[in-house]
Amino acid sequence: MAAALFLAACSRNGNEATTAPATTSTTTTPGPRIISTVPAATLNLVLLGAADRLVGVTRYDDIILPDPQKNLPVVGDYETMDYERLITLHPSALVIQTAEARLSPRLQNLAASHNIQLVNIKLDTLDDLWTTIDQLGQISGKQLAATRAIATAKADLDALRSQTQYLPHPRTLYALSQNPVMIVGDHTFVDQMLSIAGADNVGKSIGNAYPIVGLETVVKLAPDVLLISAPGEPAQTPDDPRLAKWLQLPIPAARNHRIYLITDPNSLMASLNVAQNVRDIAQLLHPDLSTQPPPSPTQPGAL
Amino acid sequence: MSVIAPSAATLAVENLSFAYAPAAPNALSDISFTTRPGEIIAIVGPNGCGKSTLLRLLVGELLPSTGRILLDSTDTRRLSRTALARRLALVPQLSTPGAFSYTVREIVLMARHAAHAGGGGMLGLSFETEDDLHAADLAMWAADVHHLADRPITALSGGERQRVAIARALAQNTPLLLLDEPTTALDLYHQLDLLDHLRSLAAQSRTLLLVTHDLHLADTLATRILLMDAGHLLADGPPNQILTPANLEPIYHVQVTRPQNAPLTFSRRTV
Amino acid sequence: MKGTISPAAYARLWAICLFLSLAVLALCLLVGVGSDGKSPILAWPSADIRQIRILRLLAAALIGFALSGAGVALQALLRNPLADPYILGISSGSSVGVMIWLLITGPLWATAAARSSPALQSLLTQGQALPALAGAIVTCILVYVLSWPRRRDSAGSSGADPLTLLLVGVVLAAINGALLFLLNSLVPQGVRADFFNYMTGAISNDTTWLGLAIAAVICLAGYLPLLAASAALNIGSLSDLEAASLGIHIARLRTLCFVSGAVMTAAAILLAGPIGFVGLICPHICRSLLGPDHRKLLVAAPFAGAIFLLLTDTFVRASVGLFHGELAVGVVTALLGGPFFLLLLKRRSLWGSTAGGGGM
Repeated sequence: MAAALFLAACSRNGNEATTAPATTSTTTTPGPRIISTVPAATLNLVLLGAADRLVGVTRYDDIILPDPQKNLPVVGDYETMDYERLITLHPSALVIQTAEARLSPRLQNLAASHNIQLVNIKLDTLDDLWTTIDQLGQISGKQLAATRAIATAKADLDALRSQTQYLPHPRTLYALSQNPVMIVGDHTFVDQMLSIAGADNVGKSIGNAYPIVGLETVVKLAPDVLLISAPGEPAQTPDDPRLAKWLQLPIPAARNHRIYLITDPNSLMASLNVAQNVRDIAQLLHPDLSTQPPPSPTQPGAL
Repeated sequence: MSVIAPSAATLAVENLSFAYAPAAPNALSDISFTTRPGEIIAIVGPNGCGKSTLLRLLVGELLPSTGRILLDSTDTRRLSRTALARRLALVPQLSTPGAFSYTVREIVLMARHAAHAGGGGMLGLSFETEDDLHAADLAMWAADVHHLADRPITALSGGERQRVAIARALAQNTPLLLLDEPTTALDLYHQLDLLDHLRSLAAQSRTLLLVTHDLHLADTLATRILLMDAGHLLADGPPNQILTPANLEPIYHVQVTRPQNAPLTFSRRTV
Repeated sequence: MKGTISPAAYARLWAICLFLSLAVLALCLLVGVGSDGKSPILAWPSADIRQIRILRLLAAALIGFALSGAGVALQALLRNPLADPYILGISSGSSVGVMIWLLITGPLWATAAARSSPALQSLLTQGQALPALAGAIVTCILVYVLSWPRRRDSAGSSGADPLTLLLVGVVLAAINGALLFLLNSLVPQGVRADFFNYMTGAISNDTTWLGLAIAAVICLAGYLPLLAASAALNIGSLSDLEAASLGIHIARLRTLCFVSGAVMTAAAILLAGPIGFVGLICPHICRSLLGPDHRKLLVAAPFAGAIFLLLTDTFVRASVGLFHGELAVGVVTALLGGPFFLLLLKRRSLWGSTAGGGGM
């Protein structure tokens, strides 16, 4: 299910580059009051140290939020929006993720009449991520932190890329769900992550976005490494029974026991932690990489 | 291998009562009669007198509330469905064509199922034997539906379907035969044909029980009349003693005259 | 002779159906996805691929067999050729059962993973058979109770009215769909529920030889008693009164029908999500070819179902390149079966207004 959620959040293809409306609002309460309807935006706000600016969140944010914010009211998510709660919370900004063409006129009117800044973010590529962080920095009053964090993340990714680019790239397949098998295809955020981590994403050959394939196709793609998303599940153990069916497949990854469960629930989230997430993947792909000193991590709320 | 059915049987109804629900009034109250081989018994009475309920009880679709039904001195509740169906066949009032278009032959052959159960058949599939096919052929000739044998039942007229139901009941080859308004949908030719056939069955010491509204038919065909009203058996005896103005007028609310050696005549009572 | 069947003809029918199914199975074995995993090719598969493909094809064949057999059982039960386990919501009822099982046993799955216990994992996986059965049977009872007309005092009822039947089915399927969403939202973080699998009707990737064997045993447990009662099923399609007079214990026959129908549906649900219309199309085609005799229908229809699902699943596998990924096989069967169903409904209602108007 987490994979489905992830998809819904990420696979909104074809939306134009978004810009926040220029109208900045003045609110009655001091400081910005932000409602996030996108888990990735919630996470990034937390990482920017703006968790206390949040007044409303999504139903999936429980594991993201620090303790003081755990019981914030749930306003909406990628498919629903509680307009009544939205208005009673008097937000200064509302973060949404939707194709520009499908932006609800009613929501736009509502935002305009209540002085709510509508921030429609896009998270299809790394560049989208930087733009989004910049926007989130602006609405939360953390511009400086955002600029620094972006620079750090970019530097970390560059460092990782330089470490991996001359290493052999193993044929890698990333399965977002197991039944049916939904894989990471071309032109996706995760494909970019895989590329920097030093992987040859074999899922690209099947199609864009997140195609569903049968086991036979998995075999035909013959991955050297199989990554399986299992968000929130217990960490992988030796002789993990969850891998049993995959280990029976006639693929190099099974023969060499290079099948890994990715259990970190935020591992696929487009966030300032992207460098850490890419490093986690890179270490699975290139075990010798782990001996090298890691680049400086992004400290949540440290900026 | 078909089980040879006895050629004659006796049906005894003892103090039979029935209610559709525990709290509901009795649809049948304290009915008793015994049949003898070779009798043609007409069960008559106005609408709602309990004729159909009695029929459903005799067939075993409903179970008596009190009293019992004996077939050759065995309580029918202690007989299996198939054992009952080997002794007692039914021509329903209007045979439902059903949702699936079986051929006439298939419908008639269904009569042979009871003969197989327990005895013949593989895995309960009860394949037709030569005997079955022969019995079905004879029955279809007798009911004049043999020319329709390969036609789907859903494509037949009401009268043709009624004749198929008659053929099916005949193919069951039972000592007891129940008929519910068997002539309603038949044309004159087939009515007379049926009556002849029923008389010849009775001559072979089979027992016929006939539910009908047609008092002329009851009068001419039956050897015995059971007159029912409001769930009670009012009178039981030969037609000329039962079908009298004194018996019929109170329950049918019509004027009845019965001239000597002439058919019954009815007219609406002038108020 | 038309309208009858002898043991020799029966054996011949079995042989033909079995041979045709094996031929189609062999043919389907040849069709697969190519080296890039996209374009369809026709070749004898390598040993590696063969193993995967055979398991999936056998699963498809068993699902088709079970769903088509369940269709025949439900159609006999309701005296209505429009009955189908998917349309009546029995498939989704079975899915609801499995989803409840996943929800209840959620913590145990985590334990199995954390303790590296394949035995517990296997127990939890194969244990899904019980809730799948329970869900199917409960829905089946509901369909029967809600769609069967009240007893009439005349010659007995003639079967479920098509409109009532469809309404009951649509509503139960909608309720079950809503329950699936509700249950899915209750599944705790970190427990895999394969929600999509239960909504869209794809053949499960989790099928193992053991799982296939269990489903096959369950399927046969529903099928064989039904087959043994096939002559009685013919008579059961008449009115209750007529069936009783011909020696049929109608209440027992009905119980057999809905237990068998539910059991076979559950066998299919163990291997796939709700796949629609197989139980409608295949019995109907067999009826038009062989007539309505259940002794023939209960042999031909399940095999036709197996062949139908083998072909549709092979199309799904071969069209990976066409659709940039694999379609759920339920999508294909619904696209084929939906229009077929509407056509059938149209024809039946015409028939009902002309010939069936009189009578009871």
